[in-house]
Amino acid sequence: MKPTIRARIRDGDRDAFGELFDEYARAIHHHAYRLTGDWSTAEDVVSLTFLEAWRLRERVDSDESAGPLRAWLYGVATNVARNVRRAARRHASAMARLPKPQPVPDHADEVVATIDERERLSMVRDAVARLRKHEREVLTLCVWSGFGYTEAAQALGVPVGTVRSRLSRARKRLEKLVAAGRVRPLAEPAEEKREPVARPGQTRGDRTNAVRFAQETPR
Amino acid sequence: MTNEHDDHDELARLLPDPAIRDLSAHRHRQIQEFLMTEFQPEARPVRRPRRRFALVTASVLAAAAVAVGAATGGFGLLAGGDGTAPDTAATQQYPDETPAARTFRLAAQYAAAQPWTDPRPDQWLYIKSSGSNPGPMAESKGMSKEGTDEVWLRADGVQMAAYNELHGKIEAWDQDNEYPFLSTLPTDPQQLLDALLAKLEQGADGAEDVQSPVGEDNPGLGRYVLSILDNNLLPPDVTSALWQAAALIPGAVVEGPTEIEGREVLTLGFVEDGWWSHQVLVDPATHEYVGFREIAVADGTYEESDISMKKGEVESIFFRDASGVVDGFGLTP
Repeated sequence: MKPTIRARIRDGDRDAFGELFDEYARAIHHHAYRLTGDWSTAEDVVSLTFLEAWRLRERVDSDESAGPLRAWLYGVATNVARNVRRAARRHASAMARLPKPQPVPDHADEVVATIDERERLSMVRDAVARLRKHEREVLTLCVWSGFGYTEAAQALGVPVGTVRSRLSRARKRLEKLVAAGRVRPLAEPAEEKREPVARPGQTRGDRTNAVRFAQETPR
Repeated sequence: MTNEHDDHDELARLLPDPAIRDLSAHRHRQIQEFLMTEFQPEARPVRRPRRRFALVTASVLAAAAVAVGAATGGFGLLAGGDGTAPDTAATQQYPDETPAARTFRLAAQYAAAQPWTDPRPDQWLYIKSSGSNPGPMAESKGMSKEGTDEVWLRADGVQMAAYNELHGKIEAWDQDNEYPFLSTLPTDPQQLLDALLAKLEQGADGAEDVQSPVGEDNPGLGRYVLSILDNNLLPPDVTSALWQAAALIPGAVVEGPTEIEGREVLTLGFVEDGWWSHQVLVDPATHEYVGFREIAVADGTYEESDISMKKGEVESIFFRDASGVVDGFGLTP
């Protein structure tokens, strides 16, 4: 019988980690940016997340009913993003071996967005920065990464009720910012979103080819 | 009353996803190749000890502070004392002061008296330490047995620098080094503790370490405070407040003077899980911070690991060799 992805990850199967990276690098990169607001840091978080995942691989629950593996990986990424410096120090020698990125003009926002949209994105970043860190984490998982509340709770290691309450507090805080003119709500449906808005219970919204991982741990 | 769907949908309406950029295919491949090189099957996953600390609320801490009377009680003492003769004036002023509390107080006084000029944002904080990692955990991680650690932290908080063995030179990289946060911590010890607790709570619901995806591990507030002293060079008033803040946390243990690697020091720390301690090393005469060590104070086993340590076994020990403010990374005071 072929080992499950969980078993392979636990056993330190490098190919399994390679598959994990292929599946999730892009999504973790986005997740890290949403949490840190900085693309360069987000890129570091990607590398550090997988270094941490390797280091912590034996902590992957072998119980196939433990939930989707991506919750574990996002949990690692979220912890890394909480204190990048500490993770970087832990993996300092490894990170020193990572080739430096080629400098590229920081114009990606301009490419994909109109002036109006750029302004809106700037306001979003400002608004997100005003949230408490744990509210931001729940927001990014549930609203932008397509996590259901249960899966977000697994990733963050908190009760589902805590996820709900944090999301509720984030909403109230954002509404105050809107009322104060600090954030402008979307006028139209979010057709420009790269990752569709998820609904509670949705297991994955951003990458169809990652469903395989989720399917291995049906709930 | 709102329901969760309302919250979710309203947030989605308010906030378009700001993540609009992907890693380039080249960078994706580059990082993947890097990681596959780093993922060596023979390398054992690192296990760190589970260091639980029941994070208390600020109000409880405040109550505890009152109860111990400004760091005059509530401290444990394994053996001895700090070995220095009590001065009469201090004894009269702090009649119930424990050796640990006294050590914290004197270390705070020493720190407060040090000269300091705030660095410009473009200057760097330099810290050099040397020591060894003789313990079994370090061995399992393949860490070098001994060495020197030099790090530069840019004062505006955005970069760090260190020696890159691969490239054979000192290189800087973009990294939040926390100096702006740490250097502006409140100088009132209780407010400082509150700020650190708030940061822990904000960061990880009480779990500040990057070792668990579910945030199950608490670091020990005492260790957290002391590790800030280990890893940073901060203004004297903040450094002094860190010592005073550590004194508000019950359970500190001081021993010595004892000779460690030819140096006479006091060891001051908090015991976690009944066997493991991260200790700062203090000069017994001046009460200057001189380094830190991680040691088993009783027989113990790292959680979820077969790595055990015997009482007295040292995991790591480092002495600070130099520190100061410099104009650029690679420079030394």
